[in-house]
Amino acid sequence: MSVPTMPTEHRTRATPLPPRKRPMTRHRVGGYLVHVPLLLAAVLFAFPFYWLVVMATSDTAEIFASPPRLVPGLRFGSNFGEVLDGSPFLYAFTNSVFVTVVASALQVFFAALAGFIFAKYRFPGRDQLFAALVVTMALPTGVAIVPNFQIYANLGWLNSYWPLLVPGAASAFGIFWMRQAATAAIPDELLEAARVDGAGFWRVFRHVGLPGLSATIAAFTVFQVMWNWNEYLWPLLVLSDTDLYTLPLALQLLKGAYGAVDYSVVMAGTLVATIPLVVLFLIFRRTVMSNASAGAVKG
Amino acid sequence: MAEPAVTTRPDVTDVPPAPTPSPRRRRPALVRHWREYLAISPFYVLFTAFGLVPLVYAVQLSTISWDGLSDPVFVGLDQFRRVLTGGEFSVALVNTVLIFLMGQVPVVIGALVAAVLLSRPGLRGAGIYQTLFFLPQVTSVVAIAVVFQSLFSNSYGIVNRLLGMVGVEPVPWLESAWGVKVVIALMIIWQTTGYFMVIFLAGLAAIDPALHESATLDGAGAVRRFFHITLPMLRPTIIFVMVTGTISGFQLFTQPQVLLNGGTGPSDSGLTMMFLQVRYLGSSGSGTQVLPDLGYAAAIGWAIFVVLVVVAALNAQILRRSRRS
Repeated sequence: MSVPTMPTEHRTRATPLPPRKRPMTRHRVGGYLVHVPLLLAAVLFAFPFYWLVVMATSDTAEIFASPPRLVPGLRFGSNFGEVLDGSPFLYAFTNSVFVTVVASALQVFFAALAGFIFAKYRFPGRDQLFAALVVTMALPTGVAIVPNFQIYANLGWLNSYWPLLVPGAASAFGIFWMRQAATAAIPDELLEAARVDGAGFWRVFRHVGLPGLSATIAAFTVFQVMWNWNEYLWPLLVLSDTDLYTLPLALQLLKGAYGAVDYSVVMAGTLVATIPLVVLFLIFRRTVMSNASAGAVKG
Repeated sequence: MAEPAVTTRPDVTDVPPAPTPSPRRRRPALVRHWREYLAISPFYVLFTAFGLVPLVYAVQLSTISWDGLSDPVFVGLDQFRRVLTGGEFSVALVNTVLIFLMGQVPVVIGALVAAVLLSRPGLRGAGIYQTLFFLPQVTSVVAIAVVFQSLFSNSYGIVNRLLGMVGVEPVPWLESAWGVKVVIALMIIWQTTGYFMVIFLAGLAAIDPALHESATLDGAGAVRRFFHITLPMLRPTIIFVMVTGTISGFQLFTQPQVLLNGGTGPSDSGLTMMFLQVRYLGSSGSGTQVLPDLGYAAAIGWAIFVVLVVVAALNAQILRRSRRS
């Protein structure tokens, strides 16, 4: 499979090149003009966020005033108070944190372990097993939701978090990514040295594998957290008890209860649900963006 | 877990040379390497249980008609006939393709243009632009749908009110067949452009600057260099973006489901293939009441699988042809 590796190959091939020194004279002329489309796009892209803040901090009358008010108001406190009254929002927040942490931890652990083994150990069938894993990445098995739903029902998993934690715990994409990282970042001598020092299989992974993969683990973790936090389809299908709802479902519930009556309340909830990931992303901005091209395979 | 060097290479270190190596000495690979196999096993176990088995199970399910409660009725190939001739699936397929085209084409073009503009050397604020364009990617589709629903609502939506200020009649965005598709496409554009922009930036960084330099010396302008150097060199990235974009685009579900409050919109204009499958699963998220039929839903799932495999094959075909030319 050449497709998933392409952008990564590009980046590695790009590194040995000297820093670019394009002739600057031609660019100087249009230097400022570039900002016109970029600023326009930036305003369009920022506006939904801005509007979210405006609505979450206003009350209905202010929003529906004519001409429309376009600046944030002071009503966030009372709006969010109604969110807490009108939906199991705090439960949902806690549930989302729990599901996201456990699911991401499992995904990162299994991906790092298997990727490290594939990269650094020899055993019969290794290459065939890895090739099979890569092939599965191109199979859209996720579209068959009815049989999966029935399997979860037969296992007694409906209305529980198991369907959100177990089936996706070992990600082919994550293993693929970790294997690449381990091949590039962990020299065989380090493993030999650890073994000579008497380190067992597990200790080699903990003291050589995990530290060597730390940058990739950080990037993969952020991606999985983003993904798990926002997951919608399966929570919607399997969770029926509102106390088990994750944030996206609780927002839907809130929208159903308040959507026609008071949109500011829905917006206040949406704002609070959105902030954690925005903050997380801003902290890990560089790691996420420099690895986003590898993350694309997730789709 | 005491003697690692011994366990990894038992036949080399701890076995004294024997005159006739007995077959018992060389233990089977599964025993010698049990740790390695165990460590990689979760993926294969889970993929079999929740990836392959469901595909086979879906074949069995698709031969019955079953509302999930009463006794299932064996119907042979009727469910597949219903998928092919019932009309609903073709409506969903056409909707999916239309929304995909309306969303994905602007995304690829916009992301490419943004990446080219942002990769200009010495551009001020490039990091801020990049962050801003990428930010929608981390927000949940539900949050985006909530915001877009209010932006495009009929009388109080800010879009219609801004249009009204310049004398345009309010557009019933969420109550017309085309309006629904436009808003869903806009949601996709807003959410995913920044993601593909970052991938294009990685692709652009890999192009040898010397190519641009020599072309500039030969008198090629920015536009010519874009079409004769940048685009051809970016071909692998463009294909990669198209492949990943189609696979996720054809599984569209959450955007219409949330935007239309669980319904499928005027004249089913927001009914996508995955939405149709969920609808016949009869779950709480399916909104409009139809009689649940798990057999029919399973057949729809298989049909989506086939459509996706065909699309992937077409993509591969395009890839091969463009390589030859």
